[in-house]
Amino acid sequence: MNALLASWRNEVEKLWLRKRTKAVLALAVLIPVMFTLGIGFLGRALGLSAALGRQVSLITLNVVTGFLLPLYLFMAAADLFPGETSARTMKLMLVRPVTRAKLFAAKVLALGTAAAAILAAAGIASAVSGLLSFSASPVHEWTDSLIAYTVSIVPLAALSLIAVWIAMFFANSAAALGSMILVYAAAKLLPVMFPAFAIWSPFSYTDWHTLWVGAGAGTDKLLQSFFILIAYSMMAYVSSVTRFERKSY
Amino acid sequence: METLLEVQGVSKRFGNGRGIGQVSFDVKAGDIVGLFGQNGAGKTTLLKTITGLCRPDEGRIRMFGCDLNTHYEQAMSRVGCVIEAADAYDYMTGKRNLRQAARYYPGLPASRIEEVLEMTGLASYQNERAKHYSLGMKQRLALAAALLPEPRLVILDEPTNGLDIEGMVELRQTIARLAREEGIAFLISSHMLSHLEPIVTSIGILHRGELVRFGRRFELVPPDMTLEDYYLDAIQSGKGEDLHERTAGKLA
Amino acid sequence: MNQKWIKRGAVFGIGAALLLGSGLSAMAGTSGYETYKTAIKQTHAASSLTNQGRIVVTDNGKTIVNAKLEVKLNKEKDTLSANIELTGASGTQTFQAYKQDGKMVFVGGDDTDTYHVLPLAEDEQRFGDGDFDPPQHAEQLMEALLGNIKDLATVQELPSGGKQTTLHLSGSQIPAIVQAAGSLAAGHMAAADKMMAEGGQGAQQGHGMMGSSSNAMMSMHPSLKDFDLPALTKDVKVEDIRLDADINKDQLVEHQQGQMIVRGTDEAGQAHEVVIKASFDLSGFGQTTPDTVDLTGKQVVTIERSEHMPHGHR
Repeated sequence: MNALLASWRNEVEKLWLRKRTKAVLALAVLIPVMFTLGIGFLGRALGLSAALGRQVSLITLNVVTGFLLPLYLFMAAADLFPGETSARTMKLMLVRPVTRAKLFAAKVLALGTAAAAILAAAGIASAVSGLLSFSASPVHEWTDSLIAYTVSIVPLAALSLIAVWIAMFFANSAAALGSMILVYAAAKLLPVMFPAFAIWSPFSYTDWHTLWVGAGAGTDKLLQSFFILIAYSMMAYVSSVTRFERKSY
Repeated sequence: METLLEVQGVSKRFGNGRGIGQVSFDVKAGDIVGLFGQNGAGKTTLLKTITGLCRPDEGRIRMFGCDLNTHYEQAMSRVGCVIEAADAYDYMTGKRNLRQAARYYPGLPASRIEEVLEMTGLASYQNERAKHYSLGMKQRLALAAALLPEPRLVILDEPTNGLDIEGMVELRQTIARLAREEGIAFLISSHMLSHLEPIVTSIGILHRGELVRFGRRFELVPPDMTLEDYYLDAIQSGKGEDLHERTAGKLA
Repeated sequence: MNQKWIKRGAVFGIGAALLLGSGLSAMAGTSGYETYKTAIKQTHAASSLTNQGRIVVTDNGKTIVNAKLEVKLNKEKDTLSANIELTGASGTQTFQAYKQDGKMVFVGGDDTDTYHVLPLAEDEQRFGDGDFDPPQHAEQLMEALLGNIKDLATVQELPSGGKQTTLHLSGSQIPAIVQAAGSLAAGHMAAADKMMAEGGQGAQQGHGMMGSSSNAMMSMHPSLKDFDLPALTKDVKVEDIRLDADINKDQLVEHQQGQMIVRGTDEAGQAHEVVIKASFDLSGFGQTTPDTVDLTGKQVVTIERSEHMPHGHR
C-alpha cells in the first residue's frame, strides 16, 4: 500500500511541477470569470444576465470537459508514459521497490487527481463568480451544478485511460500526443457522418453531465452510457497495464 | 558470507539476435564485482534483467532470497542502482529528486537525504535544478539516489563513463570505503578494465552475451598474469567461436 | 501468477461484454429523439395533409395573443391553402394564403378586399422532395452539436399502438444558446411578434411551409404589432421548455405541441410569467385538397419581385 501511495504522491508532484498544470488550473479559474464578465457586459447591453448568469457554471463545464481537460489529460498521459521513457526517467521509479502494476495504477490515479482538481477549480470559480455577480440561484441549481461537476469525472477517467492506452504504443511523447489528438478529433467528427458511431465512441460522452442535471435522462440511458464508459475504462486499463508490465526499459 | 544476489540460467534475447544467454552467478555480501566486456557484450542487458527493467526469457533472479518475479518489492527494498546512464528529473532540484525516491522507503530516517548529499558532495547544489548539473554532478546525484535506501547491494552500470581522472579516483575511493565500512556489495559493469581494477574483489567476463568467466579475483587470475591478459585469454578461449573475429583491439 | 492473468482476462472479458451489451441495447433502445425524427420524416413524405394549429401566448395567465391557423397542403398538385386568425389587443384579424396555378395569393389583414399575387418562378412552383427536410449533413451536424441533450427525449408507448415523445428541459438543462435567443426575443418588444411566428415554427421543426408563408404575410402586414406583450427588461430567463408529439401507429405525427415559459420583470418592477404554447393537429394524410380562391372580378395587386426579396419557399 505504501508503494502505491508513494508512487501516487510522486506522480502528482511531477504533474504539479509542470508549468502546464498551473496554466490549465489558471485557465479553469479564468474561464468562468471571463464568462461572468462577458455575460455581465452583454447583460447590461441586452438584458441577458439573468438568462445566462446561471448558465456560467455549465458553460464552463462544457468548455472544460470538451476541450481543456481532454487536451490537458492527453498531454499529461503522454508525459507520464512515453515522455518518461524518452527522458529515461521511467527506470528511476521502476528500480524502486514498487511493482509495475502499482506504478501504473499510481500514474492513472494521478491523472484522475489532476482532472478532479481542475474540475474542482473550475466549479468553485464559477460558483464564486456567480455568487458575486448575479442574484442567488435556487438550491436545485446548486445541486445540479454539483452533480454535473462530480459525474464529469467518469467520462474523463475513460478518456484518460484511453489516452494511456494510446500512449503505450509510443516511446515519444510528441508522437503520442499527436495521435491522441487525432483520435479525439476523429471521434468527435465521425458522428457527424455516422450518427450510430456516437453510441460506441467513448469520447462522445464528454458532455455526459447533461444527462444528469434537472429532470435528467431515464435510468436506462444513464446506466447504458455509464456501462459503456466503465467497459472502455476496464478494457483500456487491463490492456495498458499488461503492456506496461511487459515492456523493457 | 551471505548471498545477496543469485542469478540462475538467465537468458534474454532481443529481436536482433543480441542479448544474454544462460548467465548464472552469485554476489555475496562485501563483494565488489567487476563485470567486464566490450561494448555490446550484454552488460547493460544483464543489469537491466537483474533489476527488473527487462523481463528474462528464462532463468530466475533472487535478491536477499526473494524472487524478483514474485516478490519484486521485497527483493528491491535494499538495492540501489544506476542503470545505463545517470538520469534525473531535470525540472526538479537535486534534493527533490532524492525526496521522490525516498518516498518508497517508509522506514528511512529523514536525515538520510542530507547524508547522501553530503556523501556525494552535492550538498551545496541540492537546491539547483538537475538540468543545470554537469555530467559529473548528475552521476553523483544518481549515486546518491542509489545509496539513499541504505542498500546492501548497489548495482552500477558503467559509472565511470564521462568522469575525469579525479572523479574516477574519487568514485573508486567512495566505493571501496562503502564496501569496507558499511559492508555494501557492489556489482559494477565497465568496458574499461583499468577503471575498476584497483578495487574489484570478484570479476565476471561477459562476451557475446555469455558469462565466460566468473569468480573471485585471486582464485581466477594467476599471480603472474595481469588482469588484462587474463581478460584477453578469457574472451579468446571463449566458447567455440571464430578466432579471427576476436581481436585484442576491440578492447579499447 | 496464473491467477493474475485469469483476473486480467476476466476484467477485459467483462468489459468487452459490458460494452457490447450496453452499446447494442443503446442502439436498439427506443430513443425519443430518433422516434420523433423518423415520424417527422414519414409525415413530410405524405403527399398531402392538413395542419390545424393554435398558438397562445399568456402573460401571468392573461391571454395576449391567440392565433389559429389551418394549413392544407398537397404536394402532388403543388397547391396550398392557409387560413390564419390572429387575436391580439387590437382585435381579431384573418389572413388567407393560397398557392395555386403557379402563384401565391395573399389576402386579409387590414385590407380584406385586395388580393396580393406573387408569381412564382419555375423552380418555386413545385414542392421538391427536399423542401421540408433539412439537408442530411445539416441534420447530422445539429445532432453532433446537440450531443447528449437529444438523449433527454423520452418515448412512451401508447395503448393505441402509437407513441408519445417528450423532451422536457428546465433550468440549467436549457442550452445556453436557446436560453440567450429565448430571453433576447422575449425581452425585446420589437422582436416579440416575430418570435411568435417563429414560435410555431420552432415547435414543429421542419414544418417550413407554415413559417415561411406566415413570414411572407408579416412582411405585408406590418400592422401586426399590436400585442399586449410585456416589455421584460430585468431577470429575463427561459425557465422551461417542453416539446411533445403524438405519433400514430403508421409512424405519422398526429399531434405535437411545444411550450416555453419565460419569466422576467418589466420596467415597473412587475414580475411576469409569459407562457408561449403552440399546438398542432395533423390530419388528412394523403386525402387533403387545399382550398382555392377564384380571382375573377377581385381587386388584384401583383407583387413586383426585387432582387433582395427573399425566395418564399427556401
